[in-house]
Amino acid sequence: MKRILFLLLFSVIIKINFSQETSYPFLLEEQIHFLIGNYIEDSCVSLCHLRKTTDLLTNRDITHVNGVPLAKRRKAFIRHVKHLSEKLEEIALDKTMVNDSTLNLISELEYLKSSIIAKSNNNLTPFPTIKEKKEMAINSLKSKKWMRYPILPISNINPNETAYWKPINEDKHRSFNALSKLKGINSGKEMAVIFKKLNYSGSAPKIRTYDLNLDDEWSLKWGDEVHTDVAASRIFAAIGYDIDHPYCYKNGKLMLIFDGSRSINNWEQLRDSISAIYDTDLEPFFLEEGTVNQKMATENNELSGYVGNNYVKFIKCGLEARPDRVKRLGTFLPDQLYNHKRLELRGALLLHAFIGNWDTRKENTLLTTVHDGNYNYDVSAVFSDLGASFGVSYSILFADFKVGLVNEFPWEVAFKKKNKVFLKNPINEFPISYSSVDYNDLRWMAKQISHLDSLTLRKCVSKAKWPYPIEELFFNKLASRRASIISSFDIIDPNPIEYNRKITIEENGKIIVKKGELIVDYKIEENPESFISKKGRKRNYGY
Amino acid sequence: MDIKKILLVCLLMPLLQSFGQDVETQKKFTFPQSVSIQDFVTNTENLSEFKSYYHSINLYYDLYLDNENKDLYKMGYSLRFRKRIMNDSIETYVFQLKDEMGLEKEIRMEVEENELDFYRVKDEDEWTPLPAVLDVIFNLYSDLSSKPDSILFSHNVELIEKWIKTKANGSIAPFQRLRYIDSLTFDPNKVKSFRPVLIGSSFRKRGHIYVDSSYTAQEKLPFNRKNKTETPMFFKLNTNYNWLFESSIDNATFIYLKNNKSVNIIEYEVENKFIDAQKGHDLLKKYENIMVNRLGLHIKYDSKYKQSIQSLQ
Repeated sequence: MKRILFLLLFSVIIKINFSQETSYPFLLEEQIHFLIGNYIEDSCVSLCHLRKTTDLLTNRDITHVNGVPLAKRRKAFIRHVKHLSEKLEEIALDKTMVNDSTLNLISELEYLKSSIIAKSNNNLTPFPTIKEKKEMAINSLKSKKWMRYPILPISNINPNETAYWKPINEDKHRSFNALSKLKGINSGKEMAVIFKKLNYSGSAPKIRTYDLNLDDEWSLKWGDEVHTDVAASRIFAAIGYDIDHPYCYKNGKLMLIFDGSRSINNWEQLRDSISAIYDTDLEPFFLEEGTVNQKMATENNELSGYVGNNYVKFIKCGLEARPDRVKRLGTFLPDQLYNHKRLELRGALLLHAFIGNWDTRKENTLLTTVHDGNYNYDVSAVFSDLGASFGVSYSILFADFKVGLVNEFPWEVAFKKKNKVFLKNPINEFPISYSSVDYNDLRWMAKQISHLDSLTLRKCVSKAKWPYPIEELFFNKLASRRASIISSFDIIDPNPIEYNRKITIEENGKIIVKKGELIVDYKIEENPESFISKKGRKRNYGY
Repeated sequence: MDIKKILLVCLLMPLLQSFGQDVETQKKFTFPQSVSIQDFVTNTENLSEFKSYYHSINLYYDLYLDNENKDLYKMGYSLRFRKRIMNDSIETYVFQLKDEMGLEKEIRMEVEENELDFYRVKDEDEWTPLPAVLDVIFNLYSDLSSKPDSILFSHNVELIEKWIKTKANGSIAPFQRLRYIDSLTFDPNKVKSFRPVLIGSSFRKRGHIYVDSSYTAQEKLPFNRKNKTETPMFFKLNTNYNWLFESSIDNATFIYLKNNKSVNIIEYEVENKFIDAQKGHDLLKKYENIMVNRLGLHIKYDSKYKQSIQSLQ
């Protein structure tokens, strides 16, 4: 009882000192009571409690937590935890009174622990269960009913810079590349990667590959997300969120080399393995196969070690960076540690709606440690796998879905009726951060979206490398959806973007887009996944 | 389809769990009196299919820990702080726990805390970086004019003892492993009793052992490709050479702090670096036969710590 009274009194004192003006990457006012209860004794950091957490995160001989096998803790992660805990150990040994800066360090440690535990639990069931699939379907069906927001008196609160969001004040179209540079990602117009191993997770076919420098990895993907993921990630980056780094490669600009020392050593073996794992035929994505020769090695010296090895090129594929500097933990915990109180997380619901993202499961979020190249690490929250967007068709019967269907991407996403704002974007999961959203959370994001100008939107869409008519249609639709959001929240548009809802595009005398609708299955041999067919992954994209 | 995926995950799970082991595969040899180190270097540079390229001379300082009862020694472990000075310039510090090899045990446990720069120990009211404390100890040791029992030396040894006491149940990798090996034997009180017992330095001539591309093709060996940071410059420049092992010729001297007696140890060590563990093991066996039968070296298993304690106590 005494202890509880002390905790209450102490947390009140700390709360007085907690300044909303000061920006902390992790600490929220609401966490203080929990952190004090778990890590503080006599106003100081408790070594005993601290070490319990640190040991769990760094001791490679601890292999299970609550009976669940612990997820892999990489060297860089362990190093960062030790840096963090050593700072706290000195504070503990000095018997320094705890303050909010100390609590922020403890909070970061708690985030790392919870994320690793979440990943460990997720590893047990890497594929959605029947129950989860059913919930996704129910959420999708009920989204329309749930996503209506009574208009409130306007509040102009802005979030501080945190691990979850950083304000981008200028050159929004450069923010994706700025993040790439920070993470040491080097993507070229043409790329060669080395086969590493098959992947067994996710619903879209993918494999793990090495960069030619053998330090960095790339995830190589095929299917309907190779354009959508690129555009979606760039839009999220332009708003200030951290993201994955996907790129689209077409017409054989990517060469996959088999180095002869792995289980898969040629195109046929790859195709058969992908077929066995994902039930997907890669044949329509195949462009050519061959052997790396001396001429290729002369043109690109980095290929010299692979002369004589088999390679394959594709009509189109996606390549997502897995740089050595970035270590991926578990989810960024949208439902834990009071994260639903974060305006920057609640507001993200409207950004998902803007790009038409359907797959809002917490599994598609990440905490990452980013090495700054000088033995320091920043922990950053990442919106991952944003590709289930830009026109999604889902089938409850087949538990299947298809993305990037331009005609399924409505011209409007928000509208105001009576005293409510309505969002038209079904999503498959409502973490508390999204189910507890109110008008002002969305209005904050609407203001962020209003700052996306024509150049930024165009750059995001063009990097996705959609064929010209599809790109034009998506650009016009995004501009229209943006306008619907801005007007619904009564915001004066600082950068009006022109769009044409009746756009018609002709190629060689043939109408491709008529009055804002794609009317032909555009160049199916170059786009095997199709921009019209609703047959998804389970049905082999309809081919 | 789902069942297939679940089965695949079940098959992969043990692999995911196997990351916890930190081991090295190595061979150790002693030189008979008839073999000079210089002759050995010349002979090994081009030894049938195995070639050696000696690339650097490093200087190592070691401070071994144990308690009064020599529990670590008795149980077949060695625990040391090591300072490496590479090519007279780069300095690194590491805290290592190793076990002993034997006739039936060629794989050696090696658990490292390999970044000591951010650990500090409180000296009076000041936090002092652990490497700075180690530097004072090693500098006094290497300075022949000062005796290891000087006040400054003792004070810094005490700081090391203080750090051990503070961290005994902390997240220091060797201590975590000792607790895992036997939490009763190596309880925090036992770990707190560890203190510096042996100090020494080694000159180490390091070399890469490799085969050329024709032998690689003839034996159908994979090429040992590692990432840029792990690949030595020699193999970046000579892409036709296939890196198999790392070798070192050590000339080490140790002083037992209890009685100031010293011992000199000269040995040749070869560590497997090959990408394919089984093929690397077979190649190492082949190399061992050449060392023994052609160059007259003797196989040995004892660590430098074990040899020193056996010789000095």
